[in-house]
Amino acid sequence: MNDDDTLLASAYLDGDVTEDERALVETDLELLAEVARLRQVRALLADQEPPSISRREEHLAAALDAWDRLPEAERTGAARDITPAALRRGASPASAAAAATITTPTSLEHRRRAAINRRMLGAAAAIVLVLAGGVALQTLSSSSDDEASSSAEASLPLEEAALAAPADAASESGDAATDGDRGSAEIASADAPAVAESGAELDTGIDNAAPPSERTLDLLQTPDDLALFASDAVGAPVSPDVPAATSAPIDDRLTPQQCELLAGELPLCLGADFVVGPAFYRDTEVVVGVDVSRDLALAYVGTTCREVARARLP
Amino acid sequence: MVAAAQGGDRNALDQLLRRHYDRIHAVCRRVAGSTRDGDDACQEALIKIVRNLPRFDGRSSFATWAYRIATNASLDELRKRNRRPGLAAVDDQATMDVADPGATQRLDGIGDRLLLDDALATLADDLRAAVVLRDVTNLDYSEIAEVLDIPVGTVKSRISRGRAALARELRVDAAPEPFTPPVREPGNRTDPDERPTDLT
Repeated sequence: MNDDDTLLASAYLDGDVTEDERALVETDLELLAEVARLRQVRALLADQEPPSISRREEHLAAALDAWDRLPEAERTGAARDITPAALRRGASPASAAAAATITTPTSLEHRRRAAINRRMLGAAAAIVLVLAGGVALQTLSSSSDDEASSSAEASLPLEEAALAAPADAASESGDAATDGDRGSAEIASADAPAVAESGAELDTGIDNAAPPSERTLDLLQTPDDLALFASDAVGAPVSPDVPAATSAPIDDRLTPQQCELLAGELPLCLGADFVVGPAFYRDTEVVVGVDVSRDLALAYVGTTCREVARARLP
Repeated sequence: MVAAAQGGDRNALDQLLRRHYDRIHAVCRRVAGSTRDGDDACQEALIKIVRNLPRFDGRSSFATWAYRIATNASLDELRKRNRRPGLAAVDDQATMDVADPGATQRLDGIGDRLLLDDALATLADDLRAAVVLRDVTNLDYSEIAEVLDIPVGTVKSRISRGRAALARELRVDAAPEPFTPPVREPGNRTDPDERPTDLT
């Protein structure tokens, strides 16, 4: 019995033969024997031991529990991707748009590109910051009065000095200063708002994150802390593109825009379905994500996706 | 029922899962290869079905879609098991040495299932999935092609090779004779050649 014969016998068993093939099989005793042999195999496979009732109920209960934990919008279909077909079925454009903002998937490639763009933007902002800081320091050091405050400000971190620059520049521009000083002050005041904005953007990049002491991110010490931190987000209407600020506290001092930037750009790694937000796990700044299918909270380094810790959700 | 479940009707979802549970479990059990892994795969598959139900678009039947998830969950479970060092060869069911090859056909119940599990374990994953989808769930070739994302011709070939390999492993050599109870002579003779017992 060669492979072709077996193929024919198998197809015959499944009723997937032409009339000619059928006639061929039915007139060939060897082929008929092969059909009978394969039929026995099929019968054995179909003879399946039914699962126990308790196991079945356990499985079904777990599945329904997973259903209960889905966001309401997703459960009721409101969050489904909107398509022209769906619109034709009667979905209102408003609800479609609202739903689309929740569920439109963002590819990993898109996120990587966004991360690269963000880093470049951060680098550019850093250059502007350094220049503006230099100008501000030069302005302050050239001023003869209030040397103490100048030196105090010079000792501030550059970002804080830049953020403080508008007020300083404004106060200095009001002084009776020399033309040169006024010119410097004007440069400083013109640069300062931009620096302040770029400084805010810079603060949102995880690569440029400040040391733990300067941030108020949650500090997680144990897997239990991690599970608790992540579990706050489970059940909330979140998706990979919904800012995690809506589901978990990040930093009370950040503006909503900053929170959105901060959370929206955090990478999904290790199979996480969505990001809860950034945090510190012991000494490491991590991104906390949730793998819904495995009920896991994952803490990983955002830049390398290296896993730092994991915990089962409570 | 699918539409109702998608609309948020929990009761409809419950009914839907119950209706398909046995087949889903059977797929997982047969593809994953052991009771424990099959159960794990089944649980995983059901949760994935529930979570992805809002995105089920109805292009295929619900059953086909669900079996696809179940098959993938089972293959994932297999891969996980194979990655676990030292546990790959451990199963919750002992292998059976069959002293008499002909006894295979006479075994029933648990014995048959154990033999079948062993035989299935010798099949490559792709063959096993194709055979299981055909002979356990009764999907047709085109549906199996959709589930496994392969051409119909490949499905046909895999099913044929898988069945033939199983037949070899199970030592199914010929069609069994239809079962007919032995006609017994009056008296206590159990064989026609046996001499009657002297009852005097």
